[in-house]
Amino acid sequence: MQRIRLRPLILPLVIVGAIVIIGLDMAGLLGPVNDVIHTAIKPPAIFFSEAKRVVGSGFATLREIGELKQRNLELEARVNQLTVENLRLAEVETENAQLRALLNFAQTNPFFDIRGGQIIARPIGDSANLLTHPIQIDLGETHGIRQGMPVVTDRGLVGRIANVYPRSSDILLITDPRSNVTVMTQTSRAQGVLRGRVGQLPIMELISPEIEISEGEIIMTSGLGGHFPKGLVVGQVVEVIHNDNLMFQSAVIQPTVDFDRMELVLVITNFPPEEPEPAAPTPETEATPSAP
Amino acid sequence: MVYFLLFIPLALVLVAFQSTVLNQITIAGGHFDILIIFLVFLTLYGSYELALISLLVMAPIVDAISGLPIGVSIIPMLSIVLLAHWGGKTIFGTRLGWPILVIFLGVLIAGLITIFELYILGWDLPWDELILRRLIPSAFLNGFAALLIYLPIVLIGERQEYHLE
Repeated sequence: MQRIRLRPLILPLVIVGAIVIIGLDMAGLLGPVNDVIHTAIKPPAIFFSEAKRVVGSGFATLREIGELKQRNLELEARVNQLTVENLRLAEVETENAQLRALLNFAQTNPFFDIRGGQIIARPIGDSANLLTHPIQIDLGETHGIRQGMPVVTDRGLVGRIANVYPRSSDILLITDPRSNVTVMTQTSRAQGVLRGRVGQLPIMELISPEIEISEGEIIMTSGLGGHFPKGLVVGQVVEVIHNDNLMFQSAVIQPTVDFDRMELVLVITNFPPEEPEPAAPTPETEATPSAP
Repeated sequence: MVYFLLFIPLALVLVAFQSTVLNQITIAGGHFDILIIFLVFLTLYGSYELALISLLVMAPIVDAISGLPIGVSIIPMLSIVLLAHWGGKTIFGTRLGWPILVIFLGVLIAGLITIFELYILGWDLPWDELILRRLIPSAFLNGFAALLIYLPIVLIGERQEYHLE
């Protein structure tokens, strides 16, 4: 019964109470209450602020993950692009170094190309022949290449032009068994013939037994026979074969040119040989170069 | 008196949550108001008396924290409790639509009463801006929040009834 009687009074009591409280506060009498409320709310407020900071940083991290993924993709694409560019630049640098070396050779041997006859050629393929390794270059008859022309790099003699096609040529390397080059040692001036061998280093033969040659001596073209200019570096003596029972002594030669890694060569165009090399076969077509 | 004492820590936690977290979240100019949602929930699913006690505790704390004259929020909160109680007792019950509607209307009415009270107390407020850019977006936002809160309650209630059958 008491409850029923109080209920209608609640609403006016609350309203009146609110007005009284507002009045007291406006009069400045609720200052201590204000202080108590601020003090009491501090711990939960700090808790929620910290929780909000943690949650906010969690969301920020999630957002950053998405951004980082996108950034990572962009950077990966950039890395790929730069890798390709780097490879290209490294290739250009290598080519540049080779060209500089060849240019240096041309400058130090001006008598070979007084009228701009130096030709820089690039090997473009290997033969499937297992015994010999003719190298084909992308210069041919239309470029002024003729059979027998000496081919060199900055490191020394490579060989000579064996077969000429309209736009390409075959090089007969000095390591080829068909190759014979008249050479001499730099120090002892011993004359001989350098002959290529299958699967072995070329050998310098027909060396007079009276001349003492030693390992490490430089071998160069002698110019005899007129197939090569005199003084082109060929290689280095790595083994001397001397036998009292033989009329001549021999020497195994390590060519100065690294044929496997050779990319650019020079063809000396102003040194026509006296006669074409009979050992080099003539192909019928450009597509099917001759095999030994 | 016991209820009154019990509601003090709860009110402190809710006000602290409202002032430190929810007031920082602004969506289309509106703010979530967990105090109004709590009062409506308590009125409809708890008791009218408990709601009155809680508003008497919460309102002064809200005022003290927000820098308003203490007691200003009592009448606006009372209007929300009365609205929820009246609707709940008469035609709407605790149907899903009513809590949403009462929260939507409650935010508007409570806001208007607060602005009116502050106007009487001599506060110079841009009332038109407050209504258009704060009250109305908040009303829609809290109505939507009510939907998200009450929907699971209604669904859970229905499921329990189904199991009882």
